[in-house]
Parts: sequence; C-alpha cells; structure tokens
Amino acid sequence: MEKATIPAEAAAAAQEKEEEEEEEEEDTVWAWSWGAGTDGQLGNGGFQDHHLPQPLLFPPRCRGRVSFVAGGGAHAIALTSDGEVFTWGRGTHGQLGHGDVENIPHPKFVKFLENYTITCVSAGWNHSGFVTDSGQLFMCGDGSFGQLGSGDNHPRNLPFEVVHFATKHVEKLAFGMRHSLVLLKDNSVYGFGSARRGQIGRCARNQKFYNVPRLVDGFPNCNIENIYANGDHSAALDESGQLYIWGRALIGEHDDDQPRPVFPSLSISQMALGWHHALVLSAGKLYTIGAYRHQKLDPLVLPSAEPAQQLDPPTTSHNHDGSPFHLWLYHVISNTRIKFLGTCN
Amino acid sequence: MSAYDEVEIEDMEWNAELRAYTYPCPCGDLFQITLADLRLGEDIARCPSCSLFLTVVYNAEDFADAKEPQKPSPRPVAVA
Repeated sequence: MEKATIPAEAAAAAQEKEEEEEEEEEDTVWAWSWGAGTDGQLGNGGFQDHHLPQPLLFPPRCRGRVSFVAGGGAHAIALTSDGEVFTWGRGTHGQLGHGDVENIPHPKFVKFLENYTITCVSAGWNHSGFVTDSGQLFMCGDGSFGQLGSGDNHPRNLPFEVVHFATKHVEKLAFGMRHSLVLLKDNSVYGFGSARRGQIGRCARNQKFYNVPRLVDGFPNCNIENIYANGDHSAALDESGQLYIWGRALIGEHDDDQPRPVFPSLSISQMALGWHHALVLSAGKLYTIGAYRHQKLDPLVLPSAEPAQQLDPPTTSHNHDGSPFHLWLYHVISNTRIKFLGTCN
Repeated sequence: MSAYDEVEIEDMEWNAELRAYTYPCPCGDLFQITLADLRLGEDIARCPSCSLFLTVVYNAEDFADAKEPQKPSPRPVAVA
C-alpha cells in the first residue's frame, strides 16, 4: 500500500483502520460449500465430504466479489463481479481450464481468460463454458459427446473459442450432464452434445450426439430470455413467463425432442432443473415437476400421473416467500447434493 | 431402497482404466458394472462412493461372449 505521502498521524489512523478492515475481512466468508468432496469440489482445500457448509478458500484478492458459482459433476466455476473466473474440483478431462488434468481442492484463477471480461459461466458433468462481455464463447473439458461444440469429440484442457459463434453474440449458457445450451442476444437457442433423450432438440433418427451447435426450433413468436439444463433435461423461459421443457421426461417415460410449453396459465419468473425434477417459481408459489421417488422433495410434492406432454399446473403447491435466493438454495440442496452453490450477494 | 435410475448400456461409457461400463452418479463418482458382471446377467451398477445404484438395461445375449471394447480414450489437448 502507498503511504509515503500520508502524514504520520493520519498514517497511524489509516493503519489502524486498515487492520480493523483486515480483521473484518478475515472473518468475512462470502461463499460456502458442502456435500461430496473427494475430488476437491468443495474448494475448502481438502478432499473430504462435509455435511455442514465449509467456507470456500478464495484468494484474498477476490473476497467479496464472487457473484455467481456454477457446479458441475465434481467441479465448480466461480465468477466475480469484475468478470474474473476461478475453477476447482475434478480436472480429469481438462474442465478446470488450467492446461492440465489435475484435481484442485481450492479455487484457482483461470489465467487463460485474464484478458477477457467473463459475464456468464456454466458447468456440465465434466465440461465448462465461459461467455465474454463481447459475446464470445469459450469451452473446455470433456467433449466425448460433442458437448464442446468444437466439431470433434476431443477433450480440451485450455479454453478455446467456439468458432460457430464467432460472428454471433452469445449471452447465456446452460449445461446438462452431456449437453450444452446457448442463448444468443437475438433470443435464439442453440444446442449441442448428447442428443439421446431429445435434450438438444429434434435430431435425425439414431443420431446420438451433435458436436456442432444447431438451432433449437420450436419457440414460435416469442423471445426466450433464459435457458436451463441439468441431467438430460432442457428448459427455456420467454419474456412473458411462458416455460418450455424438452429432453428426458420429468414425468412418465416419453422423452420430448422439441420444446413443449408447460403451465400455460402461470407467469413464471424463475425455474431450476435437477436430474429428475424441476422447480418453478410463479407469483410467490413454488411448483415442482417430477417424481418423488428419491425422497428429495418436500412431502407436499406429489408426482403427477399425467404424461409430460399433458402437463397442467400441479395440484399441489408449496407456499414460498418468493425470494430467488431461497429458490436457488433449495435448488442447490435438492438437486446437486454434492456441490454447493450458495453464493452470497 | 430402489434403484436411483434405469440406464441403457448404450448410454454407459466404457472406462478402460476401471475396466467397467460407467455412468455419472449424482455424488460425483461413477456407477460401475464390469464385463464379467454383464456376462453373468447382472444388471446392477453400483457407485463405489455412495449407497446409490442403477439398473442397467441390456440384452444378455449381446454380452454372453462379449470382449472388452477397444475404444482409445483421447487425452485432453490444448488449443491455444
């Protein structure tokens, strides 16, 4: 710190203040993690499971600036308010983007992206994506299902720019287990990766995957504002609050390879997808879709006997205070189990 | 306790190191079933790290004399 021009008394006061701040800083934790930790995905420096929230070990310079955390199969990506990116956890497929395949038990700055301002990140089972403020898309990790959109099925251990979007403006990402969804500024949705359950839209028969991004059709006259993915499920929300779901069936056995509007009577503000269920927030009420078989959900939640294509608003709902943070947290607890995703704003 | 999920063998990946077919487990590890298990008609893939297991859907005849798949697993490459 520069102190040369400060008078001695003021300097002492400043130093005292600084010490107070430092003390405060040390006591302040900004993000926590819990659950499975054997690949270092808790980011607390260890490789152990934890039942209780553990403070994430961020380097001091990024404390207080973490704005978002994405959790993958056993790795995680943190985004700071300055557009910097940190990754940790399992690195076996290069998904941490550090140029190697090491597991790292604490958040590590992704140096490759230091000259870019990142605005959105997403983590799939073993792959990662980063969007820059100018709309470029960078990817790394496992590509065996074409989920990197690179035109081949090779893994990458450093982020590379997806050339398919070089002339387009990427805005948001949502990655599932083996697939990737991309939302452009012009509101179009692209998908690539595993196509087995219809999760990247309508495909040729017997086509198991696509390694080149393709347009997801089926949003007539509407502007998609957000996209979601998890497991083999995909979803999109338009500006009027209409939700579309496709991919592996959340209820029943009939997968859907094109976006299907659900809950037409609800105006939906937010949703979250798990591996076997979805949560939907509308006018302060939380709705769920999916089976109760894993006993992860609130006992109020009941599976619907209706096939997915005939989804009506569920008969049970859970009153909720409408706080997105709580929804997020709920999503975290019920869905990921392994990772954390609790960020504190 | 019932199976966490039902997965077709086609959706599982051959892992040469583990010498088993694998599928992602929500705990972060992998459900695993060996070729020997499949030859014997076993249809449960277990996760070594947690209590969950999968039911594997496959045609037993296809695996009666099956040999290990020879799929080279590509190493990560850096593209600057």
